[in-house]
Amino acid sequence: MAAGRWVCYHPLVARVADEAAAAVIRDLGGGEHRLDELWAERPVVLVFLRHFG
Amino acid sequence: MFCREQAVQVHRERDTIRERGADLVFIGNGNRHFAEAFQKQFDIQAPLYVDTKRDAYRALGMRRGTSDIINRSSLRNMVRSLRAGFRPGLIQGDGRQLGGVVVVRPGGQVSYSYLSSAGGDHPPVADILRAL
Repeated sequence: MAAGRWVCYHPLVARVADEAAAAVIRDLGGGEHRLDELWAERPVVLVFLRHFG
Repeated sequence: MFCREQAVQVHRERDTIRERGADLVFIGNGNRHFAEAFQKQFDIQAPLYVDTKRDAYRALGMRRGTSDIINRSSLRNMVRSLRAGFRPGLIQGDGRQLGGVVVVRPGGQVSYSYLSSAGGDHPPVADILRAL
């Protein structure tokens, strides 16, 4: 796994750190969401883009 | 240019991602007006969010810095991207921020992560699909 601030609770299972899970993002309507809402029900592929250029 | 390339390449596999029971979400660090324009221009049929404070980027350990953007790897990736037909646009967000891809399962288990180490350093889409 690449370097990052993951919190490992088990040697074979990495979990998203609390700080990242609680990060607030906005949808295009301006609504705020915690990052962990995105994986509440289904797996999610999160693609972090460099910017929108 | 790199963000366009990455978005288009992953977005092509959106149906496969859904068939495997997962969602595809894009996050950028520009404002939502930039995001809306980007979504329209590239016909992105997946949720797009903005993280203008870059809290999530920071918390996930994504790299940021001039030396991460201007280096030999980035130049090599630029040639690849240009050859693939992508062209640079205006920087709409933090131009020094690098991105990455993370696959997270309910409960927060990370089944895949790739943090870019240079401009245009993107994970193979096949690797992302294998994580689902």
